[in-house]
Amino acid sequence: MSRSFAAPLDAVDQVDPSADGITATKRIVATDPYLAGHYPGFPIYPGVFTVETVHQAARRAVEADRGPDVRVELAAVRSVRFKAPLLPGDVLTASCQLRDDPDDPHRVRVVADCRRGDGAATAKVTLELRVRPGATDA
Amino acid sequence: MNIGQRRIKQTIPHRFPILLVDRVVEVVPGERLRALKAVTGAEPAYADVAQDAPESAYAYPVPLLIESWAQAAVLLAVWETPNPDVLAGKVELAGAINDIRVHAPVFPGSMVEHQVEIVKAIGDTSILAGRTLCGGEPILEVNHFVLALRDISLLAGPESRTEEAQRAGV
Repeated sequence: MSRSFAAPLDAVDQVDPSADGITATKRIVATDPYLAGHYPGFPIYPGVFTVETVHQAARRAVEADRGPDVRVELAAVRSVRFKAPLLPGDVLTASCQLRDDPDDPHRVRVVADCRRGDGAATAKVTLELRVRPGATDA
Repeated sequence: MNIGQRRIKQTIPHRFPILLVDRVVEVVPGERLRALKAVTGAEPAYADVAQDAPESAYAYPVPLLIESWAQAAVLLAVWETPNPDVLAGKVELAGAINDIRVHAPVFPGSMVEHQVEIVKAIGDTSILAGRTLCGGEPILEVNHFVLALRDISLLAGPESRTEEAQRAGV
């Protein structure tokens, strides 16, 4: 298994297209990378990993839309409201809406509604992605 | 001031491989803190980067950079009331983030400096802000970060989650 970018973990198991974006799922397991230290004896999916789930899902959506030869970067975390924790056994579903910035073709805004298997909202995430042409070094 | 891993681990519960603060270089409890983190290619985030990936693929993942800054924020929030083991009953959780801007990527070999200030502290909730610098240049700006100390007994896993806890959303 190799990646085209550094990442703390594979933060999505599956992505499915939706009407205005993409829906990603991730099953939280205690053996996920980094969880041994967050926290010993009581693994909790770090809040920033929910941000990474949304980022990886949105990245795939942008690459599917604009082709694989774009470089997608996280430019800003506009807001995150954490509402409930994710523990091993939980399945995170992130429903992501993507909207191109009408004034800047290199910006994409992502709004994600994140829920776990029991239906409880876990987070509301708004990110801004920067999309550059060319995956290779300029 | 030069405070290392021992005091850091006596203060916050994060442990290898997600203890992402290496050293504290200034702390004014209740006010501000500066901490260092060295980015290295030996971190797990780089384990699976493809052999033919471009140099840009080695940008340190932004969520880990935010986590590292946030750990500096937790250090400041609990500096005088350490909480090194969540099994003792309490855990600091991120409640909300507003407006984090990423100015530039950092790569293995970089030393970054986190600067954290307490904007407001009310009971078990702290509002913090700050930035991360690399070579004197800002790479991350954090405008509003809310941390709340929570009782761990409220955080049940999916098998033991009570209806009450589900309704409360914890």
